[in-house]
Amino acid sequence: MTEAEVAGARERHGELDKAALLDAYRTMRTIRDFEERLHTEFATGEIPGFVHLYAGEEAIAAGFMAHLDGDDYVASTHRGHGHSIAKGCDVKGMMLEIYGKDGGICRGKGGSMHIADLDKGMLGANGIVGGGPPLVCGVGLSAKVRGTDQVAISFTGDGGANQGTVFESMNLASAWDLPVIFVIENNGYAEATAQAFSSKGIDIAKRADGFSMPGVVVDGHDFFAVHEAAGEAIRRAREGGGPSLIECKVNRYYGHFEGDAQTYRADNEVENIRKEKDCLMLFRQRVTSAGLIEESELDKIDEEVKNLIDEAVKEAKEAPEPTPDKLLTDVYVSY
Amino acid sequence: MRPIAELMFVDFMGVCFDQIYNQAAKFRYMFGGKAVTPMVIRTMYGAGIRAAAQHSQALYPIFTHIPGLKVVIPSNPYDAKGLMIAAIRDDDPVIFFENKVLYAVEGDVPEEPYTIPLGEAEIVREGEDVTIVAIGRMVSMAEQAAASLADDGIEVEIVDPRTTSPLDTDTIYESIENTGRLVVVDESNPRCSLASDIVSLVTQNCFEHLKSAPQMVTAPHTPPPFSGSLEDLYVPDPEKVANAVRQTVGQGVAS
Repeated sequence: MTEAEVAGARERHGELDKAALLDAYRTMRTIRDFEERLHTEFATGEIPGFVHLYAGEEAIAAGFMAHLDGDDYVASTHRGHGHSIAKGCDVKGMMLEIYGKDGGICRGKGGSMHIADLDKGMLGANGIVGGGPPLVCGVGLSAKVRGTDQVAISFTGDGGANQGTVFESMNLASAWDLPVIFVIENNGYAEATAQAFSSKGIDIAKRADGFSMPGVVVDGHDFFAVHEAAGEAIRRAREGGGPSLIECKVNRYYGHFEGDAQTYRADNEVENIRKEKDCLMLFRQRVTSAGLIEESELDKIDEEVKNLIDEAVKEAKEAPEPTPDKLLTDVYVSY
Repeated sequence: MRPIAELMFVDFMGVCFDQIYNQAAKFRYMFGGKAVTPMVIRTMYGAGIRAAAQHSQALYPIFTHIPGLKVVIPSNPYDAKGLMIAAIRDDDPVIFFENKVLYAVEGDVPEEPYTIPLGEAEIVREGEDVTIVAIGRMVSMAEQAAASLADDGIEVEIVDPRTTSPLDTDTIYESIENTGRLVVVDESNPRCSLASDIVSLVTQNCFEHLKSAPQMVTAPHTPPPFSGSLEDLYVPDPEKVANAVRQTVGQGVAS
């Protein structure tokens, strides 16, 4: 990409023209199908390790990433598939990785919890709760020192929001006016612990006051609300205005991890959310009722995404395992 | 108060390490023997469940390294209960390492309370040819290797230290005096590990009894991989243990 192309691409971001709306829908639909399919496939026992699904939270990843370019940075969580897809990671490469295959996006060495593509600005899902915010301070400082207008976004859960790393990062980013956005995806549960048990019941966004940065609460089911709040924070960061904290209130459709019995959730809790607040449903209703997009255009995307996920799973199942010599490679750059 | 904290995966210790190694571990010494820190931190360690690099490490050498901390690593259900009660009653901070694969192992455990003193190793199997010192889950790997080696006429003695700080060096040294050969099986990475520590101690203190070079069986010097085909190669297995034993008796087998 030339500088002019990058600048041109940036100007388009934030404008929700038809192409951008279709892109956003495709992103959300791809994440949803990816996760729903993993839920099914995990139950067969074929997928190794821990898998944490992002289904229900798609509007957040799509709403933020719609404003980003390839050279902007994102640091994710253990629930990282959605951020990875929205940041442009190869869907098939991700599926191969989750199956532990040699052709995976991390060569089968990382798995679901460590999906990363540094060429895409995706600094990794993360196995350590609160691991991401210090990383975005690092790349944010780098962007500032190099004089670029890149931004860096960390996604953290409501549980992770209580980690010391998050507070330290917010303080540093604010003190140094780093081009960083701290996104808290508050899905109500830190693993199995409801938020009321782990912190006093105030909005996490209010913590921003203590660090002299803007803090807002957004409905994480509403793509348009997320997109608007994200746009404002990202614009401020690009212009040197420093960091922001955005708390997205949202729900996850599945457990903390696949296999979680979810005894801590009310009966029908998820069913009701799916009926009333599903981000894909809300998006579809809004764009079709406004006459912006035809139902058939969205249906076509649904079909294309379904085929993509089918192919990805098929290829992942058939792909070869890493060879034994790979055990000892990639520890260092030079030996 | 005798707090017991459960910190899930030992890999997560990084976010609270200062409280453990600069605070809890130091209080008694820094304050001239006036402080007690009678806490137990339970934590899971070990590879084998496809949990990848940040949920599979065997980090007990890091904690064993630090004076002031006690480190317990049970290998079976009976010991887990006795060592846990001893750890709770102990006035020092204890890090209690539980191998996540061993949660599936069943064994007889009495209903009533009992303790196993911290710092007392157990001879799991008696033998006169080679001593295997095995840590935690690796005891079962050593037992499987010993069974196959016995078929070939090699009698292995297995020492389970049960705690790595304090470490029962007397039992280890006595065994070496009888066998003259040492293999240490340690699931952690090899550098600055329990394996390298025990080999070093034995070499320094039992040199005149050694008939061959001690051997270490450890994970390689890499993070734990995710892919099952690689992770299965990562954790020491009975075959690697048996090969190391054969090495010490001059029946070298390419591993």
